[in-house]
Order: sequence, then structure tokens, then C-alpha cells
Amino acid sequence: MRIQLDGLTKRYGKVRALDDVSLSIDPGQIVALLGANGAGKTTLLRCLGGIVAPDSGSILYDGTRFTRDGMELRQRLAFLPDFPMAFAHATVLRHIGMVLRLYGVDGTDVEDRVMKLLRGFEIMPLIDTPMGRLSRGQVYKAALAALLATAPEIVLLDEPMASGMDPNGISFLKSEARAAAKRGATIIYSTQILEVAEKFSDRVCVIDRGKVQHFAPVAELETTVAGSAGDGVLERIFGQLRESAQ
Amino acid sequence: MKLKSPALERRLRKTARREMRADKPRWKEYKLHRTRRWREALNNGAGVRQFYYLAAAGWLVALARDNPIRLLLLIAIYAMATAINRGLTLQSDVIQGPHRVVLLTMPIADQDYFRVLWQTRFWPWMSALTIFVIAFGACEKTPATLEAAWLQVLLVAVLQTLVCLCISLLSPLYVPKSASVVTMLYIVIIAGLGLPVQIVMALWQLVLVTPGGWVAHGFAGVRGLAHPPEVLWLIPSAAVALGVPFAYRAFKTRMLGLLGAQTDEALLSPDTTELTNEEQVRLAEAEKNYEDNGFLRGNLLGGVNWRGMGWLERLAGTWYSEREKTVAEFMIAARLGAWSRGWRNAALVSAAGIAAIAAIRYLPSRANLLMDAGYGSVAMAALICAPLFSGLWPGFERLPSSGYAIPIFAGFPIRYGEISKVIFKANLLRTAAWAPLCMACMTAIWAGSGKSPIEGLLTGLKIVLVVVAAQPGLIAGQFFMTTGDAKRLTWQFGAMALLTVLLFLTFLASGIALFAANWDGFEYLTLPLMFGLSTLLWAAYRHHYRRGRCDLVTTP
Repeated sequence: MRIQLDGLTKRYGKVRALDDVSLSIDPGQIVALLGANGAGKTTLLRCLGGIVAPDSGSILYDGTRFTRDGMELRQRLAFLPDFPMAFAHATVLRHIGMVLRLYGVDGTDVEDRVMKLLRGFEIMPLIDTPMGRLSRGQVYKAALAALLATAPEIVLLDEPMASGMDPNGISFLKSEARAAAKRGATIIYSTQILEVAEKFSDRVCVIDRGKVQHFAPVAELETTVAGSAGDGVLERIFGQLRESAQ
Repeated sequence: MKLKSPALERRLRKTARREMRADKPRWKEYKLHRTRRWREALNNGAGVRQFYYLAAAGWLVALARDNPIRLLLLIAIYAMATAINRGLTLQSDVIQGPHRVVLLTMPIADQDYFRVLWQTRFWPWMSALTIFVIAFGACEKTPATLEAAWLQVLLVAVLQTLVCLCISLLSPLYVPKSASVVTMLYIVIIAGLGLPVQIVMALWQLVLVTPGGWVAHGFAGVRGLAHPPEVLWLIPSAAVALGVPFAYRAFKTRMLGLLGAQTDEALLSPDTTELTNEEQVRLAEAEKNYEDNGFLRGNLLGGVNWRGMGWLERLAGTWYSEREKTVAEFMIAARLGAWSRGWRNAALVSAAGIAAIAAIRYLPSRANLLMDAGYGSVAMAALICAPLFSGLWPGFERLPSSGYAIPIFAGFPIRYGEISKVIFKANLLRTAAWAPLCMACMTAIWAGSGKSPIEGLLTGLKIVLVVVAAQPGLIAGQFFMTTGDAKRLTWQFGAMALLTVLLFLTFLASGIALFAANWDGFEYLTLPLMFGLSTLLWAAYRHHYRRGRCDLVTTP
């Protein structure tokens, strides 16, 4: 699904969390959102997921305006906040089943997909354990598995690399995201780890105080952003942002 | 050890502010984000507590006018209830409260931790002292006698507070099933408001089994509300009050023992990545089940078996479409099955209420208790099984996320209309199930009061219909509670708020007309009007919600 953001603005009181954000993201891309704490990454993800409503501007998915009650679009989109949405009493399996049914997912291949995800995230032994008894990383894996099993066309993840998932889980997430992107899905995630963003993204989107400063592939930024050659390009960008703020 | 360092905070703030002032953008950012203490305090309800105290004072004075002994009895029971309740809370806070979770990762000895927590939990006792001062003061009939007795009132209130403190420290160690005891005591307090004088006097003697009762009896002796020798009860009370340091030591020893035995894993969830042997076996079993028996088929997508549940759930299951069942399972979550259980309990309560009315009507002083039993059973049955405030729906629960709280349903593709429909259908069924109970109780009350039973029946019916009429508006209210409207003061929100107030006032006026007016049956026409108003509010909020005029986030 093609994502088009046009003049997106969102304020929390006096704080302008997003300031006239306009972007266009083609299908099949992995986009890393970067920015200092409070820059607006989470707000952007929440707007894209329909959790918060922009004060002005629009979000178009495949040319259709997105509203939170528009289920045709909402069912093609998966949003996972930093604290996964799950009932503490529900077992992993019950949670997955519930999510699949809410997304209206059916068909013969769904079970294979779930099994693959359970194996990949190494949470199969936990299928009968209530979510409330899992560790933070395990809850994130279970919630992620449930959402990925719906084969969403847009995946929005808030800080997945800082979710408490173990290295195997992160590695599996990356491979699944790559595979999904190949099928045409768009993955947008926020992170603070520059190395991850450099290696695991088709484009990076650098946000500073609600404004998009850069939106380009890392290779393109290498040629356009000036600075000492020893540093990575993203480090150079953050250095420049710090200087400009001062 | 102190956790707060106001002096250090002041110094740091001063230095930081000086540095930021020199840097305009940073200073601007600081001003944007800082939260003023008074605003935070207002958000946390400062000022409301004082209002409660004033309201409590007025109420207690009114109660004392009727019978000071009744008030002293209630003080004695309240003293015990609050003491045990506070003891339980303190124990729970020491072992697993937020302080424990945070300080567990800090270099702080259990002894110091306990002291820190004790200091934070000691000051709330001042609120208990205030209540006791107000309550004992309310026993004085005139301002003149109060002025003369103010020192006695103050001393007795301090004594009662110290006795409570001592009991609160000892009750977690010696009182089994303390939580049930507290609940029972609070029920007695509520019931005590309307008990006949004979029963109040019997309880007044019975309360002497608790130290809370000794102080009340002693005060009654001092102020001439009981026989003068009752003043001697103050002696054992003073002994208990003097025992506070010993009780503190005993409580501390027990808590330190529990804290010492506590492991980090009990509080901080383990993050295990290696599979244990048991998990390996479960993994193999799960794989085998999947491959051999199609384990996931049915279990994963089949959902809940509504037919195997209580009668109300079975009915709902029959009425819901497949999609509605899915949404309902999500919104009800762990409470699935609670409707039928609630109805069964409500039926028992109603039956007990009707039996009480039938039995007590022959007692000499029956009026108060008759009404209490009847109305009490109606209220309790309604609270148990009727969706008075649209019911409990865990799907609306909020979870923390990056400084805000997001309702669980927001993370999934579910429409406003879908949730509303599921709740409305369920609540319609639940109200229909509650209707016979309500009408039976109201008929019994009316008959017991010597009025026409038919009128009682009709009043019960009116109550039920008002609950139904209010449902759409209440459903909108459920959504409103999970959104951040009030934080975004836009003109749309203003218009919405104005409309809500207007609709609510009209609804209220219609409700009053329904019960109070006698328009030869035409008063029943207010019911469709109320339903229409409620639906209008629901539709208006849907418009507001769909247009994205509210955020599905709230400040936790």
C-alpha cells in the first residue's frame, strides 16, 4: 500500500509533536524513523495507526483517506506500540486467535503462518501461558507474532529493537520484515540505534521537533550530508541537528 | 534515609535554569514541557479532599442530631475498618508496592526501605484524625458545648487515631482473612445508618469487643451520653495507644523477614531466553499436537463456545452475529461468563430482600429496616447484575504507552459501531433479565409500605426502562473515558460538551417527570424521548470520534 502524508500536524497542548509532515512511501519499503526523544516518532506512528487524530493534514493509503473507523484499511494495517496491547489473562494462543479473528483472517495457510512465527520467535512453549506471566520481550514477541500472522500490508512498530526481544527474536523479525517487504508490505519502525537503521532500512526518516529533516535511503544521504568521513552518515546528521539546536 | 532532596533539587534547578536562560531555544522548550506543581496537584484532585471532609462533617452533624450513640457506634466500626484496611494496604505496599519495585534495583537496605515507606504511609493517618475530630465533635449538640469540650474531643480523636494505628500494625499479623473483615465492617456501617434503635443499642454493646469501641464508649461516658463509669474504657484504650511502638517493632520484624525471603524474580519478571527442560518437552508436545491432530484448528479460530456458558451468555451467543461474537469476546475478555453468575447472585439478593420485607413488617419498629432491606436488595441486585453504567468491558482498559495510556481496543481493527452494538445487545439482555427482580422487589416494598403493589410494579418497570433508555449515552461515555477530548479544548469539543450538558439536563428533567408527574399515562411518553436523547448523544459522539476529533490516548 502506498502511504501519502500531506501536511500532517499534531499538537499536544503547546507542544507541536508533528509539524507539517509530508511524505510519500512506496509499497515494499522498510522505513526507519529516527529522532531524539520527544522528536515526534511515536506520534507519527500513532497517527498512522489511527490512535491519535492529526490536527490538520491527511493520511492517504493507496489514495484513500484513512480514518480510524475505516475498517477496510484498518484491517490491512498492524500497529504495535512499545507496550503491546494484550489482556494479561489471555494465553498466547488465545491472544493470537483473537487478533486473527478481529482482523478477519481465515484460510488454510494461516495456521502454517502462525506456526512459523511461533517457531521463529521461539515462543511455542509459551502458547498456553497467560500474557501477564511473560517477560516483556516474550509479550512483545507474542503480540508481534499475532499481528504478523494477519499478513498486514503496513506494519507500524514502535521501538521494536528496544522491546526486550532477544537477539534471535530481533533477527527473526528482520528476516520476516524483509520477506514481507518483498511481498509488497511497508514496514515503518522507530529506533534509536543508528547502526540498525543504517543496515535495516530502505529509507530513513529523520524527525526533529516534529519536522522531517531527511527522508532518503542511507546511500543517498552519504553523498548529500557533509561531515567528517570517519563518522557514520546518521551520526553526522545527529551532530548537525545538535549544533543547529544550540 | 530520605528519598527526596529538596535542597539539592532547588540548587540543580537554579543552575539548570540559569544555563537554559542563556540558550533561547532550550529555555523555550523547557517552558513548553515543564509541569507546574499546583497544576499537577489540581490534576490529582487537590481541593476535592477538603470538600469531602466538609461534606462528611455536615452529614455527621445531621446524623448526630438524631442519635449520638448511633454516630459513636459508626465511628467505632469505621475505626476498626480503616485500621485493618490500612494495615492490609501497608503490608501489600511493603512487599510488592511501587516503592518496592523501584527501590529493589537501588542500593538500599531493607531496613532503610522499610523506614522510607513507613514515613510516606504515616502522614495519611492525619486524614483519619481529621475524620475522628469531626465525628466526635459532631456529637456535641450546640456550638457552645463544642467550645467547652473541644479539648476532650481533640484528645479522644488522637487516642482513637493511635488505637487505630496500633491495630493497623497488628492486624496483618494476627487477623486472618482481614479483607473480608473490612468488607463486612463497611457493610455494617452502611446498614447501621438505618437500623432500628434496639439493634443500634445491641451493637453498641457488641462493639466493646474491639478497641475502637472502647474509645467511643469512653467518650460517651465523658460527655454524659452513657453511664459515667464507661469513662473507664479509656484506660485500656490508652494502653493500646501506648503499644504503638511495640506494634511497630513487631510489624517491622515480620516485614523484614518477608522482604529478606523475597527474591528479585517475584517482582521483576524474568527474561529467560534459554528453554528449560520442561519447556523443551512442551515444545515437542505442541509440535506433535499440531502435526498429528491439527491442534490449532478450531482452538485458534473457533473462538469461545457460547453454548457451553451460562444462560445469559447462551442467549447473547444466539443473538450475536459471528463478527459480533468476536468483538464481544475481545471486549469482555476475562469477564466472559460473569453475566449469568451475576444474575444468579442478584436473584438470591432480591429473594433475601423480599423475604426480609415479609418477615420484618411485623416487628414493632419496622419502618426504617423495611425500607433498608427492600431498597438495599434492589440496589445490590442492580449493582450485581444490571448494566447501570453500561457494564464492565475490559476492552476499554487502558495500557501505558510512551507517557500516555491507550485503550486496548484502539490497537485493533474494531469500529465504534461494532463495539456499541455488542454492548447494547448485551445490556439489553442483561436489563431484561434484571427486570423481573427489580419489579418484584419494588412490588414487595410498595406492598410492605401499605401502598398499591401495582404502583410498585410500575415503578420497577419505569426504573428498568430508564436504564435501557440511558444505554446509548452510557456507551458513548465508555468511549469518552478512553479518549483525550478534555485535553484538546477545540470548538468542536466545546460544542460536544455543550450538547452533552443540554441532552443530560433534558434527560434528567424527563426522568423526574416520569417518576413524579401524573399526566394520566402521558408521562410514559418521556421514555421514548429519553431514549432519543441518549441515542442522539451516542450519534453525536460517533460523529466526533469518526471525524478524528479525539485522540485514543489519555494521560495516565
